[in-house]
Amino acid sequence: MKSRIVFLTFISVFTPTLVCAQHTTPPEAPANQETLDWLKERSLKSSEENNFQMARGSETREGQLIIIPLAEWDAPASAKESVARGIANQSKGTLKAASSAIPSTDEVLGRLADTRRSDAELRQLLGYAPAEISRTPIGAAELLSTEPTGSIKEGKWTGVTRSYRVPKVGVIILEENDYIASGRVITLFRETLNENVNGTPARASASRSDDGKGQAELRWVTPQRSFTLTLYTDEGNRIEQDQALLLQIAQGIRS
Amino acid sequence: MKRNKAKPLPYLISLTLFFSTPAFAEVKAISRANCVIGIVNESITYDRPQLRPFNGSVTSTHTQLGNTVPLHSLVDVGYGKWRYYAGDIEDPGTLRVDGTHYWLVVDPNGQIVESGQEATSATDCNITEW
Repeated sequence: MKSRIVFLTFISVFTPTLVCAQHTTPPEAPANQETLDWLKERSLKSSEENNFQMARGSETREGQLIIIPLAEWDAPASAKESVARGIANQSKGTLKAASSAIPSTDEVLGRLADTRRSDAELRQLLGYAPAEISRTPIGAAELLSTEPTGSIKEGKWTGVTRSYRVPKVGVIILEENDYIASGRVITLFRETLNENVNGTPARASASRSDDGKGQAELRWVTPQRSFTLTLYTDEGNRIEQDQALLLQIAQGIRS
Repeated sequence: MKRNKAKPLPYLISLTLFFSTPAFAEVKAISRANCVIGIVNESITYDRPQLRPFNGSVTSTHTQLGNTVPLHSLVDVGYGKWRYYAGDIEDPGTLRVDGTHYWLVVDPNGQIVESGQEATSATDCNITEW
């Protein structure tokens, strides 16, 4: 059993490195050097503060959701301009992606671990009940994989990723994380929130590639959990309907 | 403080880095200490199973247990990767590893849509059952 545990833990980080050398599509908009310098500076500063707290024997790491107008974001101009460009692109509807920029459902399936845990097992592994999806369109779908997500706190992962095969649609992946427990700070920009899930502001996006594949995403954060739903389909011509399906799933989730 | 001596594990990983589809990454963060016969100390910010690229940074600070002054801090920062790695296999003694993780989630066009941060720490390999 011990060897299996070690194997599973290492595979969670190292296997994708080996599996995905075949995908080589660079992002269209590389980050500005100014943004990278800012990221590095923040990381180093936070590291120093962390060391100071450690020396004092006090560590406070509380998770937090921050929703702010873009203008109030403490970031360099290049980062803010990137957000603004994204908002402008989203306002035009479905995004266009280059051929092979969106993986096929077979490629996505190839990345998934074959570990499948029941809700009862997940309750044990996570220390809380995972979101209830039985009344959603993926409630009866084939569960392909369950993998840990978030981070490890007190010996347990704080979240889970569940992947489903939905006939005539493709692959749908639900990620949830107890970001409060993991001490994660999430900052969302008000202007990017273009949808809502049962009253919670959400961010939705859909894209279609030149070679006919589609990808839709939905992101929302409740006071306790963060959620991301991602859909991959080989029939990109109907990605708008698939996007509506994601919203329907999100609205049916109970946590 | 950063040494130039060859680091086989990070080099192996950097050789196999790749770009994938930009999307709303749900970022994972982990630190490990005294791992794999007690020599691997590392902090990693990554996304899986979807391997979505994001802009990120990770700092891994290594401190010998019982001390408050760190041996050193290692940093990785960049864009368009699904995995950021800071670690080594050369530190003496038994360590505590503290990681600070920052990331900018990007949309399918590579534009920033979200920011996140988290601190992790470890005094062991962080092996958990799954």
